[in-house]
Amino acid sequence: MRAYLIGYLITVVLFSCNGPENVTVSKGFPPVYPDYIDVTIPQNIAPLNFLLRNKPEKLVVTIKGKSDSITVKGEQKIEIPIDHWKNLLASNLNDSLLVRVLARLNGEWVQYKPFKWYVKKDKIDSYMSYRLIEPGYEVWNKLQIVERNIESFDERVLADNNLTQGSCMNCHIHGSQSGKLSMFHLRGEKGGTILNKDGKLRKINTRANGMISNAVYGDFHPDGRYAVFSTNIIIPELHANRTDRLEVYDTASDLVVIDLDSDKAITQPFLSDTTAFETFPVFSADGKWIYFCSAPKVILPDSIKSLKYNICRVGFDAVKGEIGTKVDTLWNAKKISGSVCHLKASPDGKFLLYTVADYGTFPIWHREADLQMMNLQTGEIEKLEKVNGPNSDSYHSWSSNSRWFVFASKRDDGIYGKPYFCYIDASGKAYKPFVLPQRDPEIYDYMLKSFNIPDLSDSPVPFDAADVEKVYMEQEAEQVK
Amino acid sequence: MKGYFKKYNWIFPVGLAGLSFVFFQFFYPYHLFFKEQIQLFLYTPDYFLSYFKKPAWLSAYLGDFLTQFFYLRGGGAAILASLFCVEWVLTVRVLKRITSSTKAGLWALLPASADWVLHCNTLHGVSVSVGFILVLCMFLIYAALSGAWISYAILILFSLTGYWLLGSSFLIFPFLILAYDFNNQRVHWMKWIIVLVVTFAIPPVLRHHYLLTPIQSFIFPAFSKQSLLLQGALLLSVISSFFLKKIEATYSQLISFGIVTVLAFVLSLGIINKADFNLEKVLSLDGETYFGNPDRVIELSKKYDLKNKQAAYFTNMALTQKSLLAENLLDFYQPFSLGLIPPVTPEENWQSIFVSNEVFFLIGDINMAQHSAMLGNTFSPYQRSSRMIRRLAEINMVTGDSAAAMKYLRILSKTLFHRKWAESQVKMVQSSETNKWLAGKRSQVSDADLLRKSNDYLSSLQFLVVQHPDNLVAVDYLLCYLLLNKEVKLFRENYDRYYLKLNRAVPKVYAEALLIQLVTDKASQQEAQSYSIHPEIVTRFTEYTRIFEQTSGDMSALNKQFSKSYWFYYHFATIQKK
Repeated sequence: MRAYLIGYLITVVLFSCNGPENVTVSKGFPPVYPDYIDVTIPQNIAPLNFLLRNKPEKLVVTIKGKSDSITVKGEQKIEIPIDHWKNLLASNLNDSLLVRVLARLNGEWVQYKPFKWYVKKDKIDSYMSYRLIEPGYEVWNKLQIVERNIESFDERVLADNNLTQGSCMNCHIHGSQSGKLSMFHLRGEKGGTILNKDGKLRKINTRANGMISNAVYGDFHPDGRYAVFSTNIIIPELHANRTDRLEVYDTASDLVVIDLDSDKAITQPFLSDTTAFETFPVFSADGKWIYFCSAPKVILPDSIKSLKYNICRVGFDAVKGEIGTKVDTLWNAKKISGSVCHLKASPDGKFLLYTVADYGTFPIWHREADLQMMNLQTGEIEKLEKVNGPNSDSYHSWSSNSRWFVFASKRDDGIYGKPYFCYIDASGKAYKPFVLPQRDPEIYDYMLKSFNIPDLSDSPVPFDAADVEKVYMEQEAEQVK
Repeated sequence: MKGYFKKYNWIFPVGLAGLSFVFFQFFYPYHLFFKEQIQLFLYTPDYFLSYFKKPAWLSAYLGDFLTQFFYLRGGGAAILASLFCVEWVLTVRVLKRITSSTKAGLWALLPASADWVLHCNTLHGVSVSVGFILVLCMFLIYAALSGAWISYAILILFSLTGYWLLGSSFLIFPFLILAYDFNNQRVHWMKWIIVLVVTFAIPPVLRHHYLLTPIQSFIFPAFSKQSLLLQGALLLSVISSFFLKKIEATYSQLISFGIVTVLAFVLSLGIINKADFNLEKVLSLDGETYFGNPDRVIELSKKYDLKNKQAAYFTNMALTQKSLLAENLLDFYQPFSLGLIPPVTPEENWQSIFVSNEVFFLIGDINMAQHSAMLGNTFSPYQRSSRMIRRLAEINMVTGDSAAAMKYLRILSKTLFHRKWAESQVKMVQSSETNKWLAGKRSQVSDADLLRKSNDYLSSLQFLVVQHPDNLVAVDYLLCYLLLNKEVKLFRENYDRYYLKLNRAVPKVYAEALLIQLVTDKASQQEAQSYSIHPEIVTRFTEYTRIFEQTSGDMSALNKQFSKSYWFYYHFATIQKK
């Protein structure tokens, strides 16, 4: 009896080890979602779980490295065990993984054309913050600023407007890609710009006398003492045609540098005059320049399609706390035909990443909005064709090693922005990007919020939603003078 | 009479269920349809896990599961009636356990009646009722245990997990324990203090984890403090039955009669106070608009004769669908143009914002419809509404954004009652086929562009009409918009530019307005005749003018004969500012 039982078990094991019979080989790639076909990934990314859009009854995925592999089974989607995944990535640095997908469709097994995941030794910063917001164009209801550990699936809420009387919150950015220095704007009656320096939170009223608004788009100086901001009078209007949705433009916009140690505003008359719009300022990696977008004033909204922003720069002396007087134009909108926004200088000082749309200053609803990258040493422009999708690509942020950046893309459905990661090698070549992995890849299908302004950091910020609530409710705002 | 109440104890739950069913099914059904429309119940693991981000995951999930059946005619009323019945049965058991009252069957009517009253509010969720039922079950489990250690263990387990499972519904639990022990003369101060402290400390301690304000942490999953009335009613039942127990035997009939009278009074008063029958009427117009029954909307509107902008809004849309707007516009109350296109501003309540997309979708302003539907979803209580998702799917099918349409259809395909519709639409999107409805809607959409503020309705309407002069719905809305704002000169200009080209007979309201402007413009007889205005209307206009001049514009002299005319509206309609 015992011998029979052992024989039976051996038979069962043998049968289960055999692959399915009568497998049809498909010449095409599997219809995976998210699109992870032949993407380049960092060694410290969370597992790239995916699903098949053609709803198979069974799914067997083998991820094969040089010497080891993982086989994952599922129904329609797979969840790769994170420990095995980490080991597999670690043993295949600067190499590739071959992903074989076998699916049972209507009772028949199909072996799809395998695809590759190229594993880069260069790590990406482990944390990313973003705002979760309904893409309701004009107004908001429930908002959260969230921080995600992109090495795993852990996320935590940094700020929730349910705890701050429903006020708007936006633009959480890090200084030098560090969680020790960050800020975001919290609007509303008790609001202000919330500044995190080593976990100590300050609330600053950034609107000094003579400024047209509170601070809006901004960036930290590399030494952390200064921050440069635009101040904007923002007008949202709706398109009426089939393809466009919202247009947001400024009827006035200026630049200001704020000394965060003394709460003092620093400006130059030519950066706050009425003949031009200046916006999206950032510091260069060495802190000696302020890059910004500038457009000659036009009549709005009638001439909205003539509203085209250049890339300009002006010097900044951090020792004296002074803005220079000479403005250089690095990208001439008239000559190139387009309008630039969202400038981001790479931490190694080599590149300037930005978004180009046909016109205007709000690319997230511009389908044609694409990323471009300027080599700051040669002035060459890389159009990032492998990176850009058919819908808006914007709101990008660099990893501290300048090898990766994240950006918000609406390529999936044109409405909901999601964070995509892209690898840039030392020569400035860009590789196919991939979307932020999720434990359950289906989550993107049912999510009704956009990932807005993703921003990378090498460490977590040392505050949470309770701290923000306390600062909002109890702390007096410091006034910028 | 003696024993009557005891013998016929079954009457209470059956009566309660029957009456509440009749109430919700025949007097309040559209509130229940609306409750389904403002939520979205998905059969996905991620959706289930989303409930763990807040307390009360179990009661909230079960409550929302049940709410999806409100989609069915009679489904909502049947579910609520059943829940009240279960509440009654469990409350009877709880009262018997605690007070051993012979009147438990009567006292138990109080919480169920309170819940009935609370359900008259669109924001009172089924999750609150489910939470209440489950906390009663937890108490009964505790009370059924005889072993000291096991009952302590269960008590600790319930105290620690109650808030997680049931949210604020669990807050009644320590009071039930206290009352039960007290009545059984088991004084355990330490146990009571621990249970009370743990139960009431958990909400504020966990509120940051759940991202709730202090008040929200004590009422979740309810939206309003009012929902705590349900637990208050239970406490009142316990206290009352406890104190009146001693005289129950002596004054049995009197007490029974008293309880029934008080309950009937409280229930009637509660329904009168809390049931919003005006809103029910508005929701009936809204519901029939959603279900695609314009004839029914007009019929109900005539019956109710409501004087508010929401009713005017749905009525005008129904009239438009039946091509009757320009004929019958002034047969109904019109609060200037607010009843045509209500403002979508932060000052408006969420229900107005929720339904605001309907008119834009109807007139073909697809981008505004999308904007409004997004806002409707954003400002709905759960930020996921089946009705808005459905509309967003339709909008993106019309604009040809198949990827966006597929996103919304995928969501709906994970529901129980919208799945069939979603699957049929998916087939259409994937095959790139169009049906008559889709082709019609697509023909309204423009490829030309205009930038406009979201509340600049006049520019939007003019744009629509310029782009598609054959869009009769938009032409009617533009002309009526001008008329209701008394812009008669502009009306005539637009009428000449767009309506004349449609070669349609001049409708009553337009004819009346044209006569005003023709007189103002001192038009020649030949010019006036070119409009082919019905002679009867001209005669009435002459008569109106005669009386108006004779009485120096006395409204009462004209009211009887001309109150439904545009002339009367033009002269006497005023906006009443609150």
